[in-house]
Amino acid sequence: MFLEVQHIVKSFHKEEVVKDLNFTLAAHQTLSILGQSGCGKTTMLKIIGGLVRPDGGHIYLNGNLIDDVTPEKRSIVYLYQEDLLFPHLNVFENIAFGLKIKKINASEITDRVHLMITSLELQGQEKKMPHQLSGGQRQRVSFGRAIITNPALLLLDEPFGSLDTGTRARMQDLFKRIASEFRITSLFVTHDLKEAILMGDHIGYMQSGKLKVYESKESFIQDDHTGVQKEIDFWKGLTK
Amino acid sequence: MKRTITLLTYFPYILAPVVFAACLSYFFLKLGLFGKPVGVFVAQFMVAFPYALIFFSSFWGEKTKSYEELVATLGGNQWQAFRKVLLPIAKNMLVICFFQTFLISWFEYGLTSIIGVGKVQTLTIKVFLFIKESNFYYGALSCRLLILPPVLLLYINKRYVFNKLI
Repeated sequence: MFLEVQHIVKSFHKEEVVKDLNFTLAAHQTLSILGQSGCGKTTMLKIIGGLVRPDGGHIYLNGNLIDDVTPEKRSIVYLYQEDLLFPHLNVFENIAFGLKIKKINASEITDRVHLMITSLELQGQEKKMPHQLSGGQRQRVSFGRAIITNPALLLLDEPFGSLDTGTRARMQDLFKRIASEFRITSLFVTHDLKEAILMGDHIGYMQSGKLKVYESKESFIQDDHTGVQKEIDFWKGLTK
Repeated sequence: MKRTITLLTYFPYILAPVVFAACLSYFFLKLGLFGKPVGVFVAQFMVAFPYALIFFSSFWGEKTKSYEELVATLGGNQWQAFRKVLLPIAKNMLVICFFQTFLISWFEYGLTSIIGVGKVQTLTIKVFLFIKESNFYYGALSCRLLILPPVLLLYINKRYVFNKLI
């Protein structure tokens, strides 16, 4: 498997936040992880991204053990709920940031950034500063900045959490298209039931630091813990 | 550790400058800094630097940490995060902080007069001397000179910093 997470555990001040985390993910697939606030989702992502050191366990990426690899060398990009665009750089410069750091030549950067801007449907916005963009546009720039570096794995921590319903739906479509176009492997964390089902090729449910990955979407829907059945009953109740 | 340092930064502002200077006198005497320009420089640094730390305490929050982490996952090292992201983001704050700490030092009287023991004379101390001596002409002239640098800095700040912030 492309990503293998084995027996990861992590505690903060004697409180076990991540408990014996085990899962695998094939290349170019998205695993969406559903869970309530404070269940350990963010800690799990930060451990995989190398930003938090686990107390135990191993992570393999493309067959290589990456436990001791620093975040800048993991080729894993972590995207926060907040877009975190660099306020002193315009759209073009924000997207080009990761390439400039890797000292790629200027003409290649220009070509790749323009290609990305077209894919993100941001033509004509290149010179705008972050404060001149809408929430959806900002999130698109944030995606572009991450994807353009060709990361082996993309970690998305509730990326659409701060968007309104309409923008959120459009961003979900855009992400699906971009993920397919750039053959992205990703972990997509959300606390939105519908989003989890829509975004993932596979679905996991995290509760009190334990992650359960379901064999199929049907088994996820059937499980009472996930709350899908309650949701279905609610909508059925309205139509009666 | 961070809490202790933060608490210490307020120390120069809890005490009156003269009392603070009296507390420092013993150590400055021991170190041979009393009545020397270096001594006054160190004393003023001990007032201005904590102010700068307090001023920047809100900057070093979760968001700044997130920026650093983001740069790391994009392939950048700590130096690149500092030079290409944190420093440009903090640029305006740095200019304002410089302006304010300059004013603190520029108008400092109590601490400077005690540590400098009259041998190190700043323009602010001179103004007080001229007024005490009823030397109105020099007093007025030095007051004008005293206000020049702050006015110049205020103009630069308004022209290049505040207007960009709004």
